[in-house]
Amino acid sequence: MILTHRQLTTDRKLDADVCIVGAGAGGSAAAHALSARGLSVVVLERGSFLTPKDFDQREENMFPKLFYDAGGRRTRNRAIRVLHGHGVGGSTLHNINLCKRIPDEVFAEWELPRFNAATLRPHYERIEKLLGVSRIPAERMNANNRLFKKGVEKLGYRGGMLSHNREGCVGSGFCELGCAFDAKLNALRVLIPEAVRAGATFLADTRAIVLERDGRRVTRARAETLDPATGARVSSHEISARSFLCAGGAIETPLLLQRSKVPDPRGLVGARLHLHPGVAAFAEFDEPVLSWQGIPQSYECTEFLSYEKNSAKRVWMIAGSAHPAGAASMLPGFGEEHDAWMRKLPRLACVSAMVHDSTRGSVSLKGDFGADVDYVLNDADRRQLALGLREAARILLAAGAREAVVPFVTPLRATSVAELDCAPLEVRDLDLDMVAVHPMSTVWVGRSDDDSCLDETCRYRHLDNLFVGDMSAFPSSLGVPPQLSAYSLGRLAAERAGDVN
Amino acid sequence: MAESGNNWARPLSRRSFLRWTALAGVASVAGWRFLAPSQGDDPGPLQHLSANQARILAAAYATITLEKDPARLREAVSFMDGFVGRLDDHTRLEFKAALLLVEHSPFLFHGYLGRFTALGDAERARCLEGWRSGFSWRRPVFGALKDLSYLHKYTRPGSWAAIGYGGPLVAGGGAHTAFEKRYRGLVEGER
Repeated sequence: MILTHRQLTTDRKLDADVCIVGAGAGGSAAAHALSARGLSVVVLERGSFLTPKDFDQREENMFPKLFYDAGGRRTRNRAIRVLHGHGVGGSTLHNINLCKRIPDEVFAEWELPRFNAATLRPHYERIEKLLGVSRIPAERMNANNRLFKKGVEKLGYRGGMLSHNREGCVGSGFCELGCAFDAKLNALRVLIPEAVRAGATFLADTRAIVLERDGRRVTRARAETLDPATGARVSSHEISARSFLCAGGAIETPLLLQRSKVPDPRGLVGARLHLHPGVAAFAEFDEPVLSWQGIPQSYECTEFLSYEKNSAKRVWMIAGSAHPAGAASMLPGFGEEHDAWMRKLPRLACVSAMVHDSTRGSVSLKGDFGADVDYVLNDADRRQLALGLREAARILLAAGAREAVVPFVTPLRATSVAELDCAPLEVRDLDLDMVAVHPMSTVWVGRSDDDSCLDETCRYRHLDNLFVGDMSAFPSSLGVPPQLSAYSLGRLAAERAGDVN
Repeated sequence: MAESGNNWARPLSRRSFLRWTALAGVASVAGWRFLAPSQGDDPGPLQHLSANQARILAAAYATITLEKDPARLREAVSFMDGFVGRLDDHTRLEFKAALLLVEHSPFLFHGYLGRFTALGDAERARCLEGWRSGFSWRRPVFGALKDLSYLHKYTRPGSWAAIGYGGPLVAGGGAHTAFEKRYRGLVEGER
């Protein structure tokens, strides 16, 4: 059953085999796998239970419903916006449904004998089957992606079609605000209904406050249900379980562990944050692009992406979508200057560059429930983002753009490759919009107590029955869209969490 | 033995008297400037912002979006008031403090005697340009005002025709009913 703030009007005490915190990709996959084994599962989810009728494709309504801090969360230095989702279905409600496995080179770099490509393979295979992962048909490319592909091919760069998990997509283009047409084969549509029918209980609008311990065992989770409209507390709950699995994502999971004061002798919980920060370049074409229509991202350029250790190419490029409010936030200036850009919107194409980051940041509590995300890009990653911006602009010019623009505070505008190559291009904090949607690696798997929080079964090293099944667990940046890996990791962590006596 | 005692009890020299009087005057003016209400129309009912904060937001919104219609400005402020209510406590406090700084920024940074809400359009635009492109620590404040302003403006259907945007595709013909079938019976007590 799913219980929301409407049902959870009185305090409850619940017992389960496994208590999961977070109903996103990892938590839902874990709940799905555990309930299929006949185990009783209680899932706590901070966000609401939303279905297609709630996804009204309006940014002002959906941001508060889908993202922490209404989408306004930023790194401590304010340089990077960190979009971190909540809701029954978590970030799978608002992601773009791109499906890629972790590359072998990244696994190899971790050198973990029991946490590798072979360990995750059966889980990837199961999830890909459940979610109907398939190659995006070329005829489904929108004009923005077609122009991007044209530029990539003209320059002889490496590129290709992406895979996704959609069925019945009508091309509304609003994947980032939840699909009103229910075309996402995600946690909400596939895994959660099956888990509920197998007996799992989801408490929506309910945040975990703290995990309580007795020696090396977590004994119960304390949680409270909040009214999503007002934030007022509606009721309080205690959930006792044999094991606990944290899957609140790489920001909320370390915060819960810090609030719970779990043993952490080396102060590792929350450290080693990676974000995959991204930037975007725009270009004006003579013909209509209407980049807000259709599947937003269907083609990738991997010319500047290598997963080899210490590679000088760590940029992944994809098309960007440009709905009015989102584009308005990124386009330069304000007043009349900005108005002139917005009038060009139907003819603007957008390409994003995301860095497979080597920067390490950290997450710590701000007050009781706030997040202090400390992340300052290192010079190597700044150079990668600069490379990405220059190449994104080059690709758009090669595709026939009249003018490419990188929206720095003083915009870089180029009408030719020669002009682009002459222009200095440096990525400095607060000089252009940077966005990160893939926080990871804050409670990571490793080989020893000295250098990691989790063992290779995703168990927290200093407690016997606490597991992590979300993006926190990966030891480094993945360099690929992470949803498939988060689902698969949730299943992996659930294997051992379900075995605890 | 060192001289001790209360320095305040000493008789003031003429020079000191003039210095303290001037300082008191500046402090009074600054205090008056700080405490006096911001200028602008009645912002209407508010839940999370004070009337002063709402007037500052309305002035920034008008400069950023070029909106002049008082009714639309009131609607924008009401929207932004609701949005501020969804921020976490820390961010909300920071945002309100930033608004105060914006209000006094013409005096502090730009050499104008008036407050932000009391300036004309061109002066306000010059101030905001300072927030946009000046010292980097000021840029996030401008970014927040810009994001909030355009989030309101470009989610209003009335703004779409001018930018050639047709609006979102709406699920019609009972499509939602079909989608919702998949979720029926999942919530306790709901069929």
